[in-house]
Amino acid sequence: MKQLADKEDKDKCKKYGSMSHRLPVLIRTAGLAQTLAFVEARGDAGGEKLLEDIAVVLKFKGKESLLESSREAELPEYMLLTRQVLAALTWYKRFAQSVLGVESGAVGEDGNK
Amino acid sequence: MEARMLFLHALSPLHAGTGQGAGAIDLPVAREKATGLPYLPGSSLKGVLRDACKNGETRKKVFGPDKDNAHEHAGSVQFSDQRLLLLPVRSLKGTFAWVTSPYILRRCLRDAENTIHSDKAPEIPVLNSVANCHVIDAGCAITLDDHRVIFEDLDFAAVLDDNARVWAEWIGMRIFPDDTDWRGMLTARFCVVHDDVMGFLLETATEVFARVRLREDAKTVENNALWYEEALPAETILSGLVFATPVKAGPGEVFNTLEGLMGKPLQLGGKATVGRGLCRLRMAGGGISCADPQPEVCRQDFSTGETTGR
Amino acid sequence: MSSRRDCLVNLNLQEVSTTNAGLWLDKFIRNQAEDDKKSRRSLVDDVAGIKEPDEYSLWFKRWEGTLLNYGAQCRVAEVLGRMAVGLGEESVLETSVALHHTYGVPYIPGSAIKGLAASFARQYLGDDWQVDTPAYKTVFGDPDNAGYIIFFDALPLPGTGHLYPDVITVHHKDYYQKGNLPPADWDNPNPVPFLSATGKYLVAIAGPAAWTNAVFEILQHAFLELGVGAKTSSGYGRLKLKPAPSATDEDQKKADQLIDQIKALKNQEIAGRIHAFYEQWKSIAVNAEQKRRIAEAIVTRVKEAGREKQSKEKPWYKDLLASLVD
Repeated sequence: MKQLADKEDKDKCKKYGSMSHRLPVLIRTAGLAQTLAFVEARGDAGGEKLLEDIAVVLKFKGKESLLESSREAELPEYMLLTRQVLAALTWYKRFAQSVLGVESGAVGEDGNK
Repeated sequence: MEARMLFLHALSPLHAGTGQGAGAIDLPVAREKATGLPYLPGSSLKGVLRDACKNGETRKKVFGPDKDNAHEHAGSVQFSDQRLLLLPVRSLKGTFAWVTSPYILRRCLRDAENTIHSDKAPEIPVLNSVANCHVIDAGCAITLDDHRVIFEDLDFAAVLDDNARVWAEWIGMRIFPDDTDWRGMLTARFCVVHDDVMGFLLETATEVFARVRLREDAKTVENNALWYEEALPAETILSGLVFATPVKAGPGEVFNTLEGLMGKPLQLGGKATVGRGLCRLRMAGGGISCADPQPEVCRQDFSTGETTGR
Repeated sequence: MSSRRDCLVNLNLQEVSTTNAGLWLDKFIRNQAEDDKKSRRSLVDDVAGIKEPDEYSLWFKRWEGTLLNYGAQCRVAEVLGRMAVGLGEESVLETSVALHHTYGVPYIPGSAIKGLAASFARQYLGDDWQVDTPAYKTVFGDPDNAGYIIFFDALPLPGTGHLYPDVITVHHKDYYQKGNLPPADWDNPNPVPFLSATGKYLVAIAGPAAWTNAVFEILQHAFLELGVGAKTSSGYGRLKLKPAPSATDEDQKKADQLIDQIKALKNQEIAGRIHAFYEQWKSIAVNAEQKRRIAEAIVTRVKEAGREKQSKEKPWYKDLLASLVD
């Protein structure tokens, strides 16, 4: 049991880390609203945790309200929110590198990013 | 000292780089510290033009002696940094727009006022809201039927502005002087957004390339061999100044030499081997000719007879 | 529920037929929910239906002219079947395609062409083309020095670059993605939509002529045998390189370009700039017929501008006239 939990934890950390590397570029490509929806739709635990953490850092109630804001915000707020999420991500990216030991472009053992 | 305006039109993505980046992009383009405006350093432009100048004697007179003899005398030409003037941004209508902002236009005006060829300067559009986008009064290619303009996933209210057309034509005459089709294309896509929006677009709407190193046999990515490079997209337009200081060559020889060199496209910025930075360069006013009311310059033009322009 | 911003929800492609294909692909998917397969499918269909912008042919003309004027060697390569370049770029679709940022047309990045040529050289050209050899370093460079050859992006000839909706079917998703279960007959096949491209592309290489010829030789084989982009093991990405245009055509093109520039000179520019064109005329490597055309163009322009009198005694003008006599 413990082994399984460890493995799941490790997997979650890896997903969390690799997602924090991917998000800044995804936000540039797809925009904030679509990027957040993408992470949510994938439904993996690491990505969800990252969304939750970003939401909390930016003083949202939770990831649902962050997602909602990204869709509903008018232009000035939308630009501001995008900048805030990008700024938060530079921190998470460093966290992923130093604490989780996940580098950009690192491919998971299963061959998936 | 005599100054002229330079305009640089990028035909392939232009990577004027700083080296290492801290944010999402591993290799970002260079930006002015205070304003965040992307630029190509004047020194790098000078270096490329110098290399393009094949006549050794002219090269020495205009650009100064080679490194080893740099103490002999200075060059007769200097370049300011070439700063972003128009950024092509993907548009929901009309494919793309050439976007600028009041701050950028003001700096362009200041440059223009330093040159002898400045004609009546257009007025700077005044934006009352971050959510507005000033477009030309009629024949705009980027405004939707519901009077919105949409760049990337950002929505703006289109505001018709006479000054937008005046500016588009002013810039068009300088970058595409011989080409009405291109001037029309520029005018139809020209627009002015708020400085804050411009800042946001410059941070998020430039071109980003994922570069990878693949393993030899399998087509998988080597660990850590993925990096992101930023570039100013094709159709970006930069502008700046060029100064002629008579050291060994007078303004006539300097400008005519440059004009000759600018007849060919140049490769500027980094990552040349994968085709980046193919640019055309235009100097407002062109080479100096007799029609210009500058007798001393004309004399120079004739006295140098055989070597002018090379 | 839509995953777009609320203010963009009601936009559909009929209203914005002149959109940038890359923008629509990147940012305008309707819904990303796992159970909504239709959104992905229809996004890919949408993008495949976007037509090339009208201005693209104007752009391409400038692009080709600039490449030739720069001294690049250009040849056309036609896709046989389909091509999938840029499939792995970041996207919420999880598949992508390389589209020109500003015009949204499919293209082959110079980096992909360079990578393909380098890979082919290492794998098939023997000892002379291994990583440390002079030939390899000259063409492709090494970590310390850039190569001497420039590989430009290959853009589609106007009207030829088309995108098609395509599908990769992953039959054992859990096996590939999670890896904890063996592949089984009862796994649901999972079709993943993506875009593939066809068309004729202008491949442009610059550098010393002997080397660019060698590079085209390499590319001719690499395009056919290895293929460019992804899914090459399923036959994607094969291109046929058309023979180089004959030397006479090339000469004519070069001359046409120079003549266009000469004709574009304004009258008041003639005095200051015409001499530079004489110098170019002297050094340009074209056949006698084209050389004559350029000389004629210069002389005609001088006359038109009313500067014949001032130029008559100049050695360069006499030189031009003399060349036109015989």
